[in-house]
Amino acid sequence: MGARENILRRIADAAMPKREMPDVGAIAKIAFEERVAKFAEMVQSVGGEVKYVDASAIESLPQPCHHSKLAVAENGAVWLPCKGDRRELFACEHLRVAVNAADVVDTMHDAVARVSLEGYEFGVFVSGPSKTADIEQALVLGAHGAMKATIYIYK
Amino acid sequence: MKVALFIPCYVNALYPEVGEASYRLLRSLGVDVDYPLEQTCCGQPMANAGYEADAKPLAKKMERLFAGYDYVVGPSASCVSFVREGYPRLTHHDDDKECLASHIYEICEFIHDVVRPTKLDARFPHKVSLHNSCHGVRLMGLSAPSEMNIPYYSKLRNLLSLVEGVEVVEPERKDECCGFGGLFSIEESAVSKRMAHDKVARHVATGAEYITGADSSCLMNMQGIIENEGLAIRTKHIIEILTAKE
Amino acid sequence: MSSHAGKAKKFLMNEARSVWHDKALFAVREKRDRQAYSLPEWEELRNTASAIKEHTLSHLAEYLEEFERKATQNGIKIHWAESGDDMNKIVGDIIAEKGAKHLVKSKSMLAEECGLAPYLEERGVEVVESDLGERIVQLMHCAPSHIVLPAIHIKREEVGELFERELGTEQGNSDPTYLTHEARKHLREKFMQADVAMTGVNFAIAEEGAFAVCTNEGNADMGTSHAPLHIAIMGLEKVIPNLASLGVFTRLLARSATGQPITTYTSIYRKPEEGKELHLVIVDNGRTESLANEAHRNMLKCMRCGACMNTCPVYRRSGGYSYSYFIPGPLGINLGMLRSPKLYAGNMSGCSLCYSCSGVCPAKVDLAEQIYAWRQQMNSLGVAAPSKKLIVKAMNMIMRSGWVFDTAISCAPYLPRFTYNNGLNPWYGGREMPHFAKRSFKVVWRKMEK
Repeated sequence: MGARENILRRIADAAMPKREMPDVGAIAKIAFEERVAKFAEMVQSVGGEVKYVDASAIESLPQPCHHSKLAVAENGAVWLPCKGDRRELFACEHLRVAVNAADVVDTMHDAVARVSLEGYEFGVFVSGPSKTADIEQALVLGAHGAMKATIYIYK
Repeated sequence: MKVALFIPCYVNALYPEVGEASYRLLRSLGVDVDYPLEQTCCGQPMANAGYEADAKPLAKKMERLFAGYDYVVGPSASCVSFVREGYPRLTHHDDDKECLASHIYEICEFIHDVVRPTKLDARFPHKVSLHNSCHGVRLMGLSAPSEMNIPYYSKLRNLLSLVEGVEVVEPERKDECCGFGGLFSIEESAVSKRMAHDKVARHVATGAEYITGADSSCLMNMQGIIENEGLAIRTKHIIEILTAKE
Repeated sequence: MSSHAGKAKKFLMNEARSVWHDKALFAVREKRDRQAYSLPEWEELRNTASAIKEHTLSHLAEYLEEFERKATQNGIKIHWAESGDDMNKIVGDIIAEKGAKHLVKSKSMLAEECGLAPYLEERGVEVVESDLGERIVQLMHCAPSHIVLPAIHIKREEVGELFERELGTEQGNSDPTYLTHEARKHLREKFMQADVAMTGVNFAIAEEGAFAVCTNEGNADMGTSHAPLHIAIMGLEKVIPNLASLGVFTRLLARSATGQPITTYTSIYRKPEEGKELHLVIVDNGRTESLANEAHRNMLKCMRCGACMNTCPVYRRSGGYSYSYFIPGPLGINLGMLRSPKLYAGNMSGCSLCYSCSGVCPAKVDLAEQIYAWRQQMNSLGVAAPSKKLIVKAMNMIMRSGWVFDTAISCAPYLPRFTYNNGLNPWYGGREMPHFAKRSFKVVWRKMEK
């Protein structure tokens, strides 16, 4: 028998008593009164920069600029699904992402409920610029990915 | 209400004043106290070292000695938590009313939750630093563990608030282990001593005159450091403060 | 002396370093606390995470099969490995078949567990660790001393000297920002040259046939977006049911690990890019045995955040190298025992049973309770310390009889203090022995009763 079958058989043999899946929706999740302001605060707390812009200015933002349809207030992350070459997203010096204020949700629970991977190869939640604290716990921005991250919020 | 005192082995031998204060405090609160003479040790030191089965004869003996009391009360959070968690395994009395585990209390917990006095005749005009012992906090729930996001509470602090003149503070890293841990203190003596040294230093940094808590074993460990380093701070079991008349 | 106690003692000899190590890690614990306290639903999240893991483990075969089926539909090539050696061979064969020579990898505890890097290096593959901390320890030819902060034991000056030697950085410059950016340049070249990228897996999402990899540096994504071949390796306990579960875990992972609200990058890999290949190896290597072990299967709930290390008062003071298993702290003590009590029982003493680890664990793994349970098995496993056995025997003798106990404690105060308050007693040395009372409580009681 192959490894797969052996492993699956050993799992069956372990006969762990069945446990119910908890109701994730029942979690009394935090809700922010000023959701967009919280999102902006969190982007800054993770080393990013926030700029409020007018919706009409979106086309004239410095390029390249990504457009995210989903942002998370509790952690300052923006969701960027991809198809094809995504090197620029990570190798860039300055990551720019535009977000409609209406697309900001409170928590990751709300975020994953809106994530659809259909039609994409990959997707990433990005929260601020790349960072590390591997030398003496000193925070340094710009480890491998973007050195800077600017989030443009429009209404 | 028939209450038996459980005085752990090392408290019996090293800190009789803690046993005496326990007795006096309970009596002053109108509790009828008895002390079964044959008691020795609950078996925790053996169990934590990996010999829980060796504690079985001691558990059986404890069950026998303390049968027939409404409550059994002891001035050591760690020993009481062992009886509570370990005895049902050792004596196979899972939810039997007879099982000692079902009615044994750490003394502060007992006074706080069962006797519930609104005042104490005690005065202790000193600044004390609370020692939140691991088993008292994390196994017994005497105060809110720093790891968890639950509202602050401290049964020890509540009781001390009934003592006139006392000022209560908590050290930085308010419930970090003092490094006692039973045989850990011997087997890992280098780490244990560093932990104890650090813990005492944090208590000293509060400016308190005394370190107090519900576990004489932690206090014993820290006292060893205090004496060795010639520090001015002193240790005192909380029950001695709840009965102080200074 | 146990192996842990011995190495801990050595680490503690350098007092300044040990104090610094303790403080650096406690600061991470405090960052974690601030995050935990900021979410009113924190404890509910932990309960839910634990319940999801238990549910998944109890339906492990179904979820793994669902994951395999959907990932295969997505074009991910799934492999199964029963052991670490099997995993190494599978990975080695994929690389050899492609004729690849340069591998960049992101951090994977599974790779460490199975000795993957040395295996590949022996076969002529250049293995470059791309996580900064891992790169530092790789260049130093030493092992990580923490699972999330691999170089936490190394000082900036030492990194400065290392980089000066290895990467030609400025002499005497040990500024973390400068060193990090020099490493960035150095590793950029490696990313560009790489013909294979390797990552671990934080969460394999059964319902989506996709998997999540979390990093702060973006090193996993730099690697996988540049190389034509991506090989991911995962322990089989990494599978979770769906995206809703991912929502729960991503709220807990970084908050617990480093005190961040989320890792900078939470990447979900679903399909290989056109013209590229994506392989994933599902590894057992003892995990099904752990699953069958009722007393210790909880270890499989672990998501490797390292919070138990940061809070452990022993680990913080004794350093990662005081443990003989490659994972230190409460997690390593437990996983080492699951791997081999014979080889790793020497770590068992390194726990004062303070239970702080069980309280910080985001998946509610009962680490301290399990260490206690292992201690109960040491004698029957033949790995108990003889000296400890002797002490317990003596205690039994005294404690089992009220008469012997009374005699012992009434004689003790008359024992000359120098006979036990001395260097032969491991308690002593910086710590005085307690003083026996002239009259025990029992004697006092008899008086009071009269």
